[in-house]
Amino acid sequence: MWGIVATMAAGLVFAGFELPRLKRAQLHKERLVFLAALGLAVTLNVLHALRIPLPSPFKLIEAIYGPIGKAFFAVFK
Amino acid sequence: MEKTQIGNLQFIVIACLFTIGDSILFIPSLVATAAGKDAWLAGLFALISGMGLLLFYTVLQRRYPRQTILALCDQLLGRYVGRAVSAAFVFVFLLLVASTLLREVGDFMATQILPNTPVQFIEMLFMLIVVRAVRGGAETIGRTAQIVAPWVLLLLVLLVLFVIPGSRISMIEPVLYNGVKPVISGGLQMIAVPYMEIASMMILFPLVRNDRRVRLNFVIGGALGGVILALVIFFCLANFGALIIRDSVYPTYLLAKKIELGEFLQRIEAIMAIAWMFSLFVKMAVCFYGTCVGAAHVLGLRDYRLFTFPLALLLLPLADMLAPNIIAYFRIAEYYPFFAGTFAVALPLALLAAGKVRGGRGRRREARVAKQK
Repeated sequence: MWGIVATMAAGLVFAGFELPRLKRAQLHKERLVFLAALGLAVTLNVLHALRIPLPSPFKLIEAIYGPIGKAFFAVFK
Repeated sequence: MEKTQIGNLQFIVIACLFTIGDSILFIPSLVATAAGKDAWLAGLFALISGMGLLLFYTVLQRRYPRQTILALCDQLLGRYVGRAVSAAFVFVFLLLVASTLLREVGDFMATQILPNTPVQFIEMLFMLIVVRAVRGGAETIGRTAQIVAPWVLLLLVLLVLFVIPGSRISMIEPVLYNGVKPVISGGLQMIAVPYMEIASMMILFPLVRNDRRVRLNFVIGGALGGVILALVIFFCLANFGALIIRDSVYPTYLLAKKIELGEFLQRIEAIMAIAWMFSLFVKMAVCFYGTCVGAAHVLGLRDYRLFTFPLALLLLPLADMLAPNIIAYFRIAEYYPFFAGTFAVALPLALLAAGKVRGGRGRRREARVAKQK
């Protein structure tokens, strides 16, 4: 619960910090990308705070490189 | 690309601190798991082959100075393939390295030094400083590295000096009892962390003021850090023996706890830990800088600073998602060299091959750059 509140608050603070600067510099595409990236980050944080199981990047690496790695290092045992 | 510049000395210390980075914390344990008593030989093997890798990383820089590896992807692999490859380099390699670093900082601090502090707070504070450094740009990172490097090196040299009295050569005997195979296996697993992740420094190459000395300075810095790593592995083994090192998660911290000079100089392990925070910070700052600049490059944006806060926020759950605990985390050691090698070795090789196939373009560009000088 506190994690969600804290993430939302952090997201608001970051947006308040960054958006005026980008607006002043007339970087419009950059503002959209910033909002998308912030939205993604906040979403991931909220999902994580709700303890929804998320896939580990290591599992993906293991699936791709695991067989090569195991076969390779088996030679040295 | 922005016009900030990094001095020669700054580049050396960044390379040195990057090599020390997070490796110094857990490398002895990782290598001892594979190589046992011969882990120090594996460390030497990794040091020598690591220097070869460092030379290899500068080959692209030699051929195409003033170009980042991301711009080279676009130039040599064509627009769409190049974009996809540079996106993979940034969002798969750099982002993952950054999240592993954050995970290691959090785990180390929470288990060894601040056991009652929630790990998220430690990670948040660390990220806050990294974000500040990255918003300042590459020059800020370089100057910070220059300021902290003497302290890190001083403390590490002191660490090595203070543990000499307690070390016994019998701990590493008999040498090569199990043959050469475990040494090579341990060495190859070690190469991935300090010497393949340092490929992220290719992002910084075009920012160095004197581009003719990049190769030499890169190798000097890497060698300095690599020698310290090899020494630390040796003294960890000579002080505790292979079994204890294999079973501990942070053997270097164990080594620092052992420092005792008379009755008055002891329990200075926290000061040693501060030195590692600095080296971790430099590695993290370079990786995170690369991630933000790379993200801006891939999406064709003019400002990279907008990515600092969202990506820092993204790294917090990502670091926690990697593995449920530190034992599961280190299970990656056997296939991590291949993952890192894809981006650190295969990608530059592919770019070199593409440059050769495309023929004159690269050479003509080089001639133009030479003429401008």
